[in-house]
Amino acid sequence: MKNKHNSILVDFKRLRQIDGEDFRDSYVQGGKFSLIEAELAVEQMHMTLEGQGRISDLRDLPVNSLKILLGLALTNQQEYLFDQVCLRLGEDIQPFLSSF
Amino acid sequence: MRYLFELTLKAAVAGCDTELTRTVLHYAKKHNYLISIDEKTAMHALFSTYHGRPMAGDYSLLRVLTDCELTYKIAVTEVNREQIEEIRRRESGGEIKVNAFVIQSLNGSRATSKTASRANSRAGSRREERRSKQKLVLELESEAKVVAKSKYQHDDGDSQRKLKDQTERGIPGESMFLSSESLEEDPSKDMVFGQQIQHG
Repeated sequence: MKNKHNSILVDFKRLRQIDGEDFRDSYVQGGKFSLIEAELAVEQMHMTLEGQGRISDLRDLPVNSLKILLGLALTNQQEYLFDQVCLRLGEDIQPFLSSF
Repeated sequence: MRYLFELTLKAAVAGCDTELTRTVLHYAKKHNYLISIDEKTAMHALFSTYHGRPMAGDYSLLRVLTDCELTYKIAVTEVNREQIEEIRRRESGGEIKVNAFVIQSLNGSRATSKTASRANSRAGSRREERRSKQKLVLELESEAKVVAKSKYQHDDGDSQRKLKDQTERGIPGESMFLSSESLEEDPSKDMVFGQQIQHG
């Protein structure tokens, strides 16, 4: 049987401060995305998994949502969606870093 | 690829989606990518379980995060510096084992699976909700552009110097969540600690 040991260091003053920040903007490797952009990508992924996603929906998505959707399509093995997101992103395919 | 996985993981956790979070973590692990999550995102998952939050009483997302092999990035600030220094003295090597607070002790229920019929009925409302969100994003973007433009016109460099000064002195604030990229560039500052989940 696996003996798992996992823990997170928490400073309670800091914790309250994070709660106040409310995750409006999130920094990722030199870039940032907003909570709304993340939710849009997650919703689009759900619609695709349920067979109700439309490629035309991608037109309206912000660039950051497309970048998130690229990762979601890859990890959920949705090849067609992945290709379509790649097409939409074009030169913006690098998720926030030029060295990517 | 790791950046893409981390971005996706962060978005899935921010969107409070347990299934997508699990999928991202398993896919990354399957392809031998050791991905990390930052303190802020992990805490967001914790706060989401509070009363009146999107995952009130549902600890499945937290359980996924603690069960998978994740490295937590903890920003060192004036507030927690001494605490972390003490831990560093006790532990050797780059990776730190921390026993301060164990999230896994939380008891909770599993996420309910979404049925197809429920999904169908929600699809229409989702589209409408999505449109309103997209509108909000566009408004925010245009607002941000106006602010950035006016700031650019009036900024004489004082704000940048002030921010740099704050960062050097380690004052909590905007400098607390520096991107790992900038932190990795200067290892002597040693601002980020990784914590491995141990599998014995």
